[in-house]
Amino acid sequence: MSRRWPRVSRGEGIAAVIGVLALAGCLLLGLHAPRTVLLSYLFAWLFWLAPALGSVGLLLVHALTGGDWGFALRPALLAASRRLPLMALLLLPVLIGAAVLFPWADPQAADPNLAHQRWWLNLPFFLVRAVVVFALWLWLAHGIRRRLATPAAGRFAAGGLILYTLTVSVAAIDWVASLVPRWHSTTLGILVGTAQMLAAAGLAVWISVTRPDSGSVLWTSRRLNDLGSILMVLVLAWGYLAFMDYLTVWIADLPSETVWYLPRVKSAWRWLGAFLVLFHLALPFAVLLSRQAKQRVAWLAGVALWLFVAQIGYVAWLVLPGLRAHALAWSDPLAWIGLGGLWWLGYGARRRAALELGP
Amino acid sequence: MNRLHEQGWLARFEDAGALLMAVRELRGRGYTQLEAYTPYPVEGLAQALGPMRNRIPLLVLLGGLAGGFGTLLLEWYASVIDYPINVGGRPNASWPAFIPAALEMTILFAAVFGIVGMFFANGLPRLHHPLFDVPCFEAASRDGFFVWLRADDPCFDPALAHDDLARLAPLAIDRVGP
Repeated sequence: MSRRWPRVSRGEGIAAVIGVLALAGCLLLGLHAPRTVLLSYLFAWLFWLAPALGSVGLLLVHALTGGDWGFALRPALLAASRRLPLMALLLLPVLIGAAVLFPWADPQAADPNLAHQRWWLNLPFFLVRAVVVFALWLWLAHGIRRRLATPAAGRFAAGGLILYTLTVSVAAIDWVASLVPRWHSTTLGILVGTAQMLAAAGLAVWISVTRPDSGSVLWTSRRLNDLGSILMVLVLAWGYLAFMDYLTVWIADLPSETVWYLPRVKSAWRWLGAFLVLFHLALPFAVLLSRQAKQRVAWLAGVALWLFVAQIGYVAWLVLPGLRAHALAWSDPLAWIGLGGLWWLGYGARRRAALELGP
Repeated sequence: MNRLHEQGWLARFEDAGALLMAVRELRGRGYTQLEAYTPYPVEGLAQALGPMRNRIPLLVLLGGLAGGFGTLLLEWYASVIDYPINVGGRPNASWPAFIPAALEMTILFAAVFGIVGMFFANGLPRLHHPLFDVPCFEAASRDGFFVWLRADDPCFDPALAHDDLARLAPLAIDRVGP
């Protein structure tokens, strides 16, 4: 493993500069309306966490199950998993601003339901959880990278996936569910985890299939078909879990569960929900159903990139509704561009290095 | 005359490689109505035989759509028109609750249509075929590699086709059909 600083392409350098400028813009906006901007930042951070963390999940799944798809995607997944330390660093603004951002952190919060949630929802414990969860993720990412070609990979992945599911659940409860403290959902952790794997797979498939420098991998129609099927499985799993969560809430009709869905389906946000059902589930499903589409590089890459981009909508759906007076803020795209610019810095070089290493 | 698709020449080859070469050669000469029989799947043979018309995917899609929308219709009819019951004040047409059953029926109907359709596409109700009259054809399930040049091929001429096959050095050439 080389410790050299990865070479950065010109495009990535420009992206990073734009990113820093966008984050500076966020900071300026944040002086004016800290809560709004922090929420935007959380949204953008959760979006860019997905490809990094989801890649670790996919690497673990592949170490356990094997299969050609994993070898084809491995360079892209390895490169994305190396973004985790950066994401840990970029979580700092959320941790610093937690007292402003999260409704439960407000000591004057008048919600009587909060009293018996204080043992979990308090600032010191919240910070400890964030540190522990990230330490475990970094350890998982490092561990699977080190063991990839060894026989120990399977056992590490089996235990690692259990740990992965538990830590993603804790993260989803802390950084998504706790925005609406009264709400609870038994599906949210695994749902967020699946969405993250979907984002990671979408990005990895798009990058791997379209970059000319991945010529060392032969893109036979069979291999493309496998990648399309992986995307299909993740789209279906995500759609199934999301719908089941909604269905149980709809049937039970209890205040502690509907509190999360009401601002989402009884306001203009419902159009985002309709968009997700149509364009994040129905359309990719219909395209991926066709073998001809899956086996064509242009179509497969298009669907993969689309699924990755559509995750913006899903993360927005998870985080934004109901927490501020105006639906969207200028800081949303700024924070997204800012974190994205930093995320790309060095990604291509990491991927090329992993490509040269071979499977 | 309309039995042409059950006639033609059946040629037996030494091994999978020879069969594959023969099929490519025949395709090169413009024959399209070729069928091959081997004791095990031969890689590249399906591609060498050329694009095959296969309506099963369409049938599966139609089955899935019929199952899914049919179930939604049934659920709507049962709970809105035929026997409306007030369940905790929910609307009679409870679409979210209708979806799981519709999903299951989509999968069931797609699978059943696919399997039954495959049986019919394989000509299942029929139990005999002129190919079975060819001596040694049962070797196709042991060590025989056969290619069948069908008589309904636009380029098919009995004498010419026989010559074309003979030039590929098969182990044997037999007539299929009367």
